Amino acid sequence: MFAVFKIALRALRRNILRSFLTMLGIIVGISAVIVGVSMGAGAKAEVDKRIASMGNNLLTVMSGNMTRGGVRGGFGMAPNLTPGDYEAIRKEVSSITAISPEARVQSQIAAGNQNSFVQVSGVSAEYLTARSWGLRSGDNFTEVDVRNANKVCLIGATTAKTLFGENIDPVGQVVRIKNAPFTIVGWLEAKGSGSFGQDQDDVVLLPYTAVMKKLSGDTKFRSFSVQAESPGSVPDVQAQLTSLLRQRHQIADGKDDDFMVRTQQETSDFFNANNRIMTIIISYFAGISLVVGGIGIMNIMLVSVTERTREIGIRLAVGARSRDVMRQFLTEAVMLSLMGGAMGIGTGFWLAPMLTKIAQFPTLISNSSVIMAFTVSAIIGIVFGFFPALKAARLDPIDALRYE
Amino acid sequence: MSTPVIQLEDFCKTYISGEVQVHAVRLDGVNVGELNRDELADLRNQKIGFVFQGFNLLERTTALENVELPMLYCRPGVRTRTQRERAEKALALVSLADRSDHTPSQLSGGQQQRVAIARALVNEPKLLLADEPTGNLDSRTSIEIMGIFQQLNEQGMTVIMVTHELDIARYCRRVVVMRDGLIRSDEAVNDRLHAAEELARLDAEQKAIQLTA
Repeated sequence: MFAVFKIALRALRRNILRSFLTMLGIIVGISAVIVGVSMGAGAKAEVDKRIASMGNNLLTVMSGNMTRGGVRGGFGMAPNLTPGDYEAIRKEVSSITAISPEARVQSQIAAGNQNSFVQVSGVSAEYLTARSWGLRSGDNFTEVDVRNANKVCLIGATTAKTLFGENIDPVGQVVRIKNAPFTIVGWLEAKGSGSFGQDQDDVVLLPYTAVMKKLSGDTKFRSFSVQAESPGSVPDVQAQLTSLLRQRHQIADGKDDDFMVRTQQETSDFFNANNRIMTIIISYFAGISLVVGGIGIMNIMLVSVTERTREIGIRLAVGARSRDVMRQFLTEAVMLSLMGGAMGIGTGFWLAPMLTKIAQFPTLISNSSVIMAFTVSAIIGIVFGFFPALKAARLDPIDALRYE
Repeated sequence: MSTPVIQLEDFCKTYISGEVQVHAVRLDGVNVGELNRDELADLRNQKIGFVFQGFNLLERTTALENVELPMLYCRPGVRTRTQRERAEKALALVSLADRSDHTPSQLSGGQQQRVAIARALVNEPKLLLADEPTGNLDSRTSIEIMGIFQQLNEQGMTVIMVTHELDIARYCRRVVVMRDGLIRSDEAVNDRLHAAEELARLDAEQKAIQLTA
């Protein structure tokens, strides 16, 4: 068995440039497979990370989905979640550990001579729990602050940096939002990019009562953030929220909801569907390249069989059986494609991090893609090497020896 | 190609590919015409050694590896170390032990033919088939090759050789003359030459020429 590999290796070395050029198709195909799969996996990991950064076991109730005059508005476009809904959920829905409404307003915010245009979110004291968000310094505002609509706020890492400079603790400072002074009581930890790529840290969190009464004048919420107590209870909580809100919004059976309850899993699926399409497209091109590479191997092996007809004749004359000749040429073809595969994997390993570095595209090389690439190249060798090997094995000894 | 060569090749072809041209060729009690392709391959491997006019060695492959070649196809297989030992022994038999790591291009025609003979012998066949083995060689080397054949024959191996050099034919025990595919004569050789004696005579003549010059 070892001798077979030695013979094959020697034959390939004899035409080293030709062997390499033959392998090129496989190298390109396999590296495309590795890079493509790593892009898919990297994008999925990035999405999962962003979704996870939203919180644990988080459900989001969004207002909207109303059709008005045939125009379908987007979710969260028309706030229709009431404080009554909020209270009802708190009282009636079981298996939840935290709930916070969200009232938003975009506003200029100033501190000293610095100012910034940020997302001001009005939330409850449970919001940080729901979002699994920690504080770098200071404290969360309290239920009392919410009840009294106190002018206190939590400041996001990016906003704090813009207004006060890097690594300067802003707790105790005062920021002005629409000319009303708010005291910073807590400095939020950095959370990174959200699921839509937005900066989650460029934010100021206020008690929702303060936003509604003092800033926006709204009486309804855009959304609720609800944390279920465990991953297993997420579907149950989703069902409870849906039926409670349908009942409260008096939606008749068969009519569409005027709100939407979305789990993190659904958000993740939504984004990963795009990644899957991208992976499929890249795999398609990689597949074409592999087939072309395989045909290249078949072509070169056919040339090789013709060139080495005399050698085959000699081997047959000294007693090689057809299957020995077959095995020899099949081994060569498989070796060509396996070496091409190995180089392709190497190229992929080199290319994927380059892509991350240059194009900032997240990539993640998985062991399974390497194993898959190796298997695929072995199969290509066998499939495309079979016909030339069969041609060699079927040669007549005398004709082969006479061949000039 | 000369008629006798074709005849021998057709003869070999029967052995090799089983195309029935010569019926009922029996070798070692086996009717060769009835064998299938694999059985013929094994027959070539175990029972017959082939020597060709053009040597037919594998290029860029050392003499030793060329001689090992038939053992790669033995069933059951031969251990790598045994292969090496047997190949070395066969090369020693044709006095080429010191050239075992040379490739064909580094060897003279006579040496290449001796490698080919070593390869033919390595599996200890019953029959040695030689197709114009001296056709590409000078006369002295031809006699050396005949010497090897005579030696093998004395040890009990059957050697069938095709040649159209009449002086070379005289090293054989029996000569079958063929013309246009027909046997013209078949008789024992009375004045058989012995390679060892001829070589000694050649050496003596060489010496005489050197002396007179």
